[in-house]
Amino acid sequence: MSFLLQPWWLVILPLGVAPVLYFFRRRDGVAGFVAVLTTVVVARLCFSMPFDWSVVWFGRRLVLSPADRMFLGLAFVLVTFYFLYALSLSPGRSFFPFVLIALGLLSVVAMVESMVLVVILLGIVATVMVLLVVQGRRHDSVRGGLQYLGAMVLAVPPLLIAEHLAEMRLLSPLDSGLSQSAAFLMALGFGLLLGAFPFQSWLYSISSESTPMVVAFILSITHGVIFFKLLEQFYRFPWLRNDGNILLLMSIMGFSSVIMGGVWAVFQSDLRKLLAWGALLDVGVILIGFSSASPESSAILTLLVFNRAIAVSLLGMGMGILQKARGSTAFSSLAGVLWQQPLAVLAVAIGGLSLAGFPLTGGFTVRWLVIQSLPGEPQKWAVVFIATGILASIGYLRFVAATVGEHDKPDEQSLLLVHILIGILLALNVVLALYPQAVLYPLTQVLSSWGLSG
Amino acid sequence: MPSWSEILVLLPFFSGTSAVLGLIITSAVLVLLQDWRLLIFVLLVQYAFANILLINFLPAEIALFKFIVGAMICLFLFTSVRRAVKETAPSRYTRWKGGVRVWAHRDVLGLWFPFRLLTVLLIGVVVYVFTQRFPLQGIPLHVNFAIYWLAFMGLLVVMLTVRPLKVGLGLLTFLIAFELYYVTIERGLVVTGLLGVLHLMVALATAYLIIAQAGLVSEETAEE
Repeated sequence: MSFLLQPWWLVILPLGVAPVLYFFRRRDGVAGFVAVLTTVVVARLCFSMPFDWSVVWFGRRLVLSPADRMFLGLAFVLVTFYFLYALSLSPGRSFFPFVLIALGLLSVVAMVESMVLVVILLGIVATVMVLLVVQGRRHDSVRGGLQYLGAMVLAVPPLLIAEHLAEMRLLSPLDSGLSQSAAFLMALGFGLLLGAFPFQSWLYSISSESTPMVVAFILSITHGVIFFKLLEQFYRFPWLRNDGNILLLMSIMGFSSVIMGGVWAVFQSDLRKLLAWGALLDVGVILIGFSSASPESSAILTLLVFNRAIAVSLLGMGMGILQKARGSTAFSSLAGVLWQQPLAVLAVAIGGLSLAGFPLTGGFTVRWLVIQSLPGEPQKWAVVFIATGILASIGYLRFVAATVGEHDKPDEQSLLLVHILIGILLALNVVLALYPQAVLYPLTQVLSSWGLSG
Repeated sequence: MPSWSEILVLLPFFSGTSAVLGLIITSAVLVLLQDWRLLIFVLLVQYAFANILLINFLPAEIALFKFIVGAMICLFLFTSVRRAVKETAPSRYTRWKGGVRVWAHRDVLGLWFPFRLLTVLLIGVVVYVFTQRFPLQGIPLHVNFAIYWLAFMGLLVVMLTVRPLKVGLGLLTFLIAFELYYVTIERGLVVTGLLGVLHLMVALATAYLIIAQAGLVSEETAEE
């Protein structure tokens, strides 16, 4: 294989460029241009590399499967969007270098086969994310960064022990104690990583304190990698899908998250907090989706994560514009902003409603597919999803109502590039809503070719 | 200067029960005390005791490497807190006597000292029950107690405070407890090295949070 087509570039390029960008962080334009160039080149490499690359490094196998390439390629494309957005509305001076460092490390996480290394690397990535969260915060409080650091570090030991127990379970398949302990620890670890109930406090804190684009990065890219690794675990240890313990735990965690997210979303009067509860609701839906064992489930779950990435990106971009226009995202300060920044309001509304699963958005269609793939009595889950979706949607409709009113002056700031990006993401949401098969079919093909389906 | 092999001959005197006792005392002190200098020194001692126990499972050179990582962590934290303290107003409990700073009672022990002491004692009972009912396989009983104790103390420190330094110390204590257990399962160099990197990164993130809370990061942004 040509050296230029080696997957090491997916790691070397972001990690190599990041320190240079850190020194140029005062020159937003230069740093942003180089960052965009880097992610475009890496995304191009992801899509053009030959299939089935693997190498043994320090006794550990690194693999770049078609599914990994697809995920990393999409992640780099999405981050390119974030960087283009950041050229117009800065989410903090160190946004470019820290995001590139995180991306480089997440590329390693995607490639490493050993779950032990994946978990430790995720812990290391979390420490970089703390810097990202804190650099873009609104005031001197570091509560969000602290809670995020705590949750991510505390998740490492349970996941490592769960991995050990899962491997021991292969040697003694009749030992039910091993599977129960492994299931409990795995649910605990992934619950902490994803901010599922009852570990949602960090989600709330970082949403309240950090810039919307940083939150969008964590909820889309970082969570995407975690979901993907959880999916791999399910197919690596088939007994996890059949045992019932972890599925039950995930269902309980998912159900609690959905209820909590939906109910609290109604009462919020700040977009930042609404984003946190909407994201919690969505995490709950994904966890419930994991309790499905149908052949299409992995593709549907991936679609759910894809929808989440689009929705939180729309929310992040829209909220960033509103924050810039009014200096706050509280409903009370947004009167009349609909006429001032209509596309930003539309982005937040569609992104939020999609997270809530409102009809005619991507979120609704994907949730419908999830419900159909659930075993047992999916009607009960349908009632839960619809009820909590309505509650969260009310929260976003209250936001839209708050933006109506008289505005004093038109906004003179030109945000053409950001508007184009929002337009593309809105179009993707519409495609997901109306033509989910257009995405689902190729996803199933890619995932089944690597044994992550069926 | 004694060679490494000579030092190793001496170490068995400190290993086992005495190291466990040291870990129990140091982690309890992390919960009880408030003064940052003492806390960082206690963390250094805790790393030393933990590595004495690790010598039973790992090659001595790797245990030494882990201690060096611990010492570097303490250095990072010390430098960060010192810078943050310099930039912020001195504690209102600080007193001066004849030009010498006298540590006030509350500066060292903090508020709610009796509450913290009682909680530590209660956790001792919980840890004893855990050690008896859920002993970790393949580990001596006293090390079992130390692992559970460190893990619970680390969690307690994290739960009882919102100060970045103490949260960081709690997380590092929790990770030390985990490593004492995990080293009996996985002794690969890559994993050991990466766990060391994780310790360092947690300390760096903590140091950054300390500086940020003191307002130094935002000042830099404002200047720009």
